Amino acid sequence: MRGGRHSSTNTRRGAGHEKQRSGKMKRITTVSILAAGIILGTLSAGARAEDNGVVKGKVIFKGDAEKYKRTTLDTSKDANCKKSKDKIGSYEVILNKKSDPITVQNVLVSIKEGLGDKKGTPKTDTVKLSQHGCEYTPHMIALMEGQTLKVVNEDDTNHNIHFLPKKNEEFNFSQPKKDPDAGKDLKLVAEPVFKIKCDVHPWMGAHVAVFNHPFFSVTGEAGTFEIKGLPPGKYVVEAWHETFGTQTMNVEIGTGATVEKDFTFEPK
Amino acid sequence: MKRLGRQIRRAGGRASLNKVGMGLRWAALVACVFLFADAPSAMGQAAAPQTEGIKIDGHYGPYLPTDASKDGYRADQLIDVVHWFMIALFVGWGIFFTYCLVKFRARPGHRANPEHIKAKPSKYLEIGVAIFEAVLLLGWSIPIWASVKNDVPPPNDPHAVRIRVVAEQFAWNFHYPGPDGKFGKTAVERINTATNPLGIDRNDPDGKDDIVSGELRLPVNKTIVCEILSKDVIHSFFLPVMRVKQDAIPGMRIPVWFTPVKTGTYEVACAQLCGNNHYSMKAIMYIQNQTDYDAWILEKCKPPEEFDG
Amino acid sequence: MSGHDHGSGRGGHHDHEHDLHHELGFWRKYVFSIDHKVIGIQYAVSALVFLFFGFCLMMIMRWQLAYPGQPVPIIGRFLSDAVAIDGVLRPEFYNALGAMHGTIMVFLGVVPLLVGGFGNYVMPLQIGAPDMAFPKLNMLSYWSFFVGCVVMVAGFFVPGGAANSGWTSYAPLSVIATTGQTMWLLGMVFLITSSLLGSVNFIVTIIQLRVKGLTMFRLPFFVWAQFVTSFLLLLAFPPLEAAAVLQLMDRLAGTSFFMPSGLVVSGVPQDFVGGGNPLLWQHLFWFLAHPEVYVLILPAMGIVAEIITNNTRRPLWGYTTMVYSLVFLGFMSFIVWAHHMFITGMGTQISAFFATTTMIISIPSVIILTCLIITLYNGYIRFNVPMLFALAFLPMFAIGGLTGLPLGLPASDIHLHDTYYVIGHFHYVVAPGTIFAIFAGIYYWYPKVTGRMMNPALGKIHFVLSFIFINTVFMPMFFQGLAGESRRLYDPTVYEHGVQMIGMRKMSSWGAWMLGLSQLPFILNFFMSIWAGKRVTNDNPWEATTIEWLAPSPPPHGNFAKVPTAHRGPYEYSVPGVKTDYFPQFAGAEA
Repeated sequence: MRGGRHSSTNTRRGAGHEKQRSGKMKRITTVSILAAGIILGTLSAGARAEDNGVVKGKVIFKGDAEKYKRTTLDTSKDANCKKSKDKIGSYEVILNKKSDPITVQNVLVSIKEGLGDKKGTPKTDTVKLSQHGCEYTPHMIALMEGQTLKVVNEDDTNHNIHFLPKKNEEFNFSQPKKDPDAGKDLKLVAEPVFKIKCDVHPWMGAHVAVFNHPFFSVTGEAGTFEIKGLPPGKYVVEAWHETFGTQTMNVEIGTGATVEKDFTFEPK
Repeated sequence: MKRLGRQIRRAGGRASLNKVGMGLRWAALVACVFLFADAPSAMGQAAAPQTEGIKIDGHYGPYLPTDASKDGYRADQLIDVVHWFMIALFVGWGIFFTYCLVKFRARPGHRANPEHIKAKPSKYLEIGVAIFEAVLLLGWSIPIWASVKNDVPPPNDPHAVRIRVVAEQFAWNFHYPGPDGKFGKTAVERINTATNPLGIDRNDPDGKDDIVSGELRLPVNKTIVCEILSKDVIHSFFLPVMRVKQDAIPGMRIPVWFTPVKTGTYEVACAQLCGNNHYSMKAIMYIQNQTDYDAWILEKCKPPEEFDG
Repeated sequence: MSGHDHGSGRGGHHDHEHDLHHELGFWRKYVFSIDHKVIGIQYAVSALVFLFFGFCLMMIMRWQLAYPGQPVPIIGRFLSDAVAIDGVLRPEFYNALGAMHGTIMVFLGVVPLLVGGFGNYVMPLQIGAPDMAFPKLNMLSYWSFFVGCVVMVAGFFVPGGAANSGWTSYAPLSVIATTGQTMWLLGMVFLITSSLLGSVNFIVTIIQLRVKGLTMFRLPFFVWAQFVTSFLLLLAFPPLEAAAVLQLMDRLAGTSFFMPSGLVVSGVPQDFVGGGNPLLWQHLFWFLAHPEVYVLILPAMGIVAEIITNNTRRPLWGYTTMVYSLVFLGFMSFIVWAHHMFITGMGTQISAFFATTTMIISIPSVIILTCLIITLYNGYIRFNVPMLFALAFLPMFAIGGLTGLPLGLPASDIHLHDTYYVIGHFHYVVAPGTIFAIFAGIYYWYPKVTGRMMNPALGKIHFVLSFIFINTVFMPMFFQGLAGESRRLYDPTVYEHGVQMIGMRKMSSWGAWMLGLSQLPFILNFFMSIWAGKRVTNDNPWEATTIEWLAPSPPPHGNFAKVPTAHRGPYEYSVPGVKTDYFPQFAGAEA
């Protein structure tokens, strides 16, 4: 509730007609007070949706892309992996080589500072984590506390997903059969990025981050991120990549503004 | 409860058997029906989940499995001989035991005879057992074990196939030296669970052509030397059809050797509790003819292809 | 127990009747008692409860083995998410059940029952003593055991569940395992301390408190068995207690006694100093654990010997030979331990040494078994319930002992190590072996402890059902082992040989559940007979010759009205010229 917008409405309608003060004055004062009250009330009830801004951008890779070629992983331990996917690739660096400039996939971009006690609109949809072709999809899983993480086995083999968090309790469970529809639902508490692995297929790995706000985004094949619904203000935005590390940038979101700012990872 | 107690107490013999015993006998009968009815129908049902679709060769039954190795017969022979010995002793004891129970059971007119029994046969039995055990040791076990431990082909033997078997929770990594026959250097810092589970230095000329595979492929009729290692806890490298078993102890590198003589697809098992997924720590072993094996080596020793996604 | 009523001074001691010492409150009389009989009963009852609990753990496990991946019936819905998903056991819980089953049966069940229960109660009576040499130490030993039990069972309730690295607790797995393992180690420290305190007491009591005329070679075989057993406990347990402390330090204090350098778990290099050796744990563990298995069998042989000679009405054949064999067995048991470690990379010389000592140790076992069988010859064999169990012990122990041969020879052990063959072997010795001896002992000494007989009809039903089903459980295991099926597998059907053996596993599982049900007649009998059992008409219902049968049934505090004297050997049955077919040790010189 700041900015100059409503200040004009707060101006009392002062008037010089003394004679009309008692009757007309009283009515005008009442109405204006009521109006002010309603407007103030609406405003104090929460930021207006139109006022929220967006921060978006790309995560650019600068350097020798040849150094970060993806290789085919050896899944020979379990022949059933090939039934779902003939080949799967390494995942520690996935560059979108076709784009110009080259961008980085699976970068977790989130608001690190500046939120105060703003919670935003909570996300409620279920996030699906699939084991398909003996790899995890998505590879970088970001969700909000309160969202359900549905772990699904879409392979004709036994998977044993093993969560290795620090705040949540470490746990693992078997999913011996293909059950693409059923899956196992999990609820996690907010925690920074942690690893998951499969106890049956050692090459499988992924990362999970659980937030207590909805302001995060993971770059995909386009290498872009977009965080919507940000109330106006100053923020520190963080980009995390499992190989390239962490970077931050400061942004200032004006009312309803869209800020476009890119991250650049330039590994030595 | 009290009435039952009194009844049983009063009866103490036949009558109680009729009440309590009858019920229990029926229970036993029903149980036996379950036991034996279920058993045959369940034989060989579900296929092993992880390798549904992969046909495992060999016969696996109530006795020893198929022997697909050149020297496995020696241990099999020892197992056979020991079991005949055991059966002979047990039957001998059993006959004497049953004879005594029947002949000397308490009955009217019979008394115990306190005269000391000389029982020379028992002394001869003890001596015979001791001699036979010495024969088992000197004739079979000690020589076989000496061969298992000492007949490892020397490092410069060009005809032996050398592999390092690195166990981890919960998979087997089979590290081949590649066509150059030299193992690349490994380091913990270089370990990447997805792309480089053993931390091999790929810039090292020796390590360039190393192969790390999740399946064990071997040529038939060649002596194979496997050096067994572990990354984390104690595992055990068990090849039932080759009669090979060796614990994988972290910090140690222990060789085993065997010579496969039958081509086919067999299983590698973990035989030492290594954690929660110990049961699923299985690999497939393919014994192939030399041509197929060489082709596989040449294909796998190339650097991993680029993944286009 | 009715024993306590008589034990507080009502009957028996005229000279102590007005002694203030006997006016003990409830707690000093029944709970913190220093009377060996009360302590013996405490041990026995606790141990029986744990035997039952350990058995239940196994019955749950066996569902997963017979019907892998299917929800456990009846109790499945009560299992929390930490141990079972929708009623299907989780692998870590399965492993915990296995590890705790073994630990509980051995350390909380059989040893406390055989040594703490039978040994404590019967041994002083058999040597004519009023109590143990150190009664307060005796009580301390029980309460140390009790604390150990609580700590062990508490493992089930900590995050991560109970210890699940096998009862053998091999490092490095046990060092990186969850909190339950720490509870296991702490529990072991208390349990071992309890055994050490007890063993000192037993040795001193047997040496010092024998009555006049009771020379060492007139001791009942049961006392000899307890004597040798106590030496095993005293000398073999300390290395394990030390090792348990070392492993605790590895887990909690950052040491690396058993942790080599360069360990990588789940791709993460471990933060240990390194330089340790996992084999050190194995040596320290098995140095105890092998003598431990002789602790499990020796008192059982003692019980069986008592009952066989009593019900054959003949002296033990070869008593002296048996005693020497017992002592030799005890000595040899200290130098065979590494036969559990043949597959760790052992060379030719060490394996030849241990294989030879293992073969040698089979000789005294064979001698004892043969002597017991020969005792039956020319006897007058009474088939009462204790005798049925004691007789069954003989072939069952024979199977167990014989199947140790292929395991004790390194070359055949290659295929059989860590398979179901091993499980079949040791269970035959402990389950239809020791546990049948325990049942025999309970039916046999029950009238001495309670003054009543257990119902023989229920006893015979218990025997027949147990005998059938216990063989149903364990006989298939030899075939599973020969086929190559490893132990501690949550789901053996992962392997082809595991698939072929599913019929055997089902047979074992159903046998186990039926065996569990077969114990109901026993449990009923045990409790009912306390109040409703037939009262004994005299103190020696079995017409036995050893000194415990002189005492009243049950014996009062101080045991004997008059200190007895031993006039002859322990098994003077069917002596020519004596009217009755038994001539008790404590009876006067005339026939």
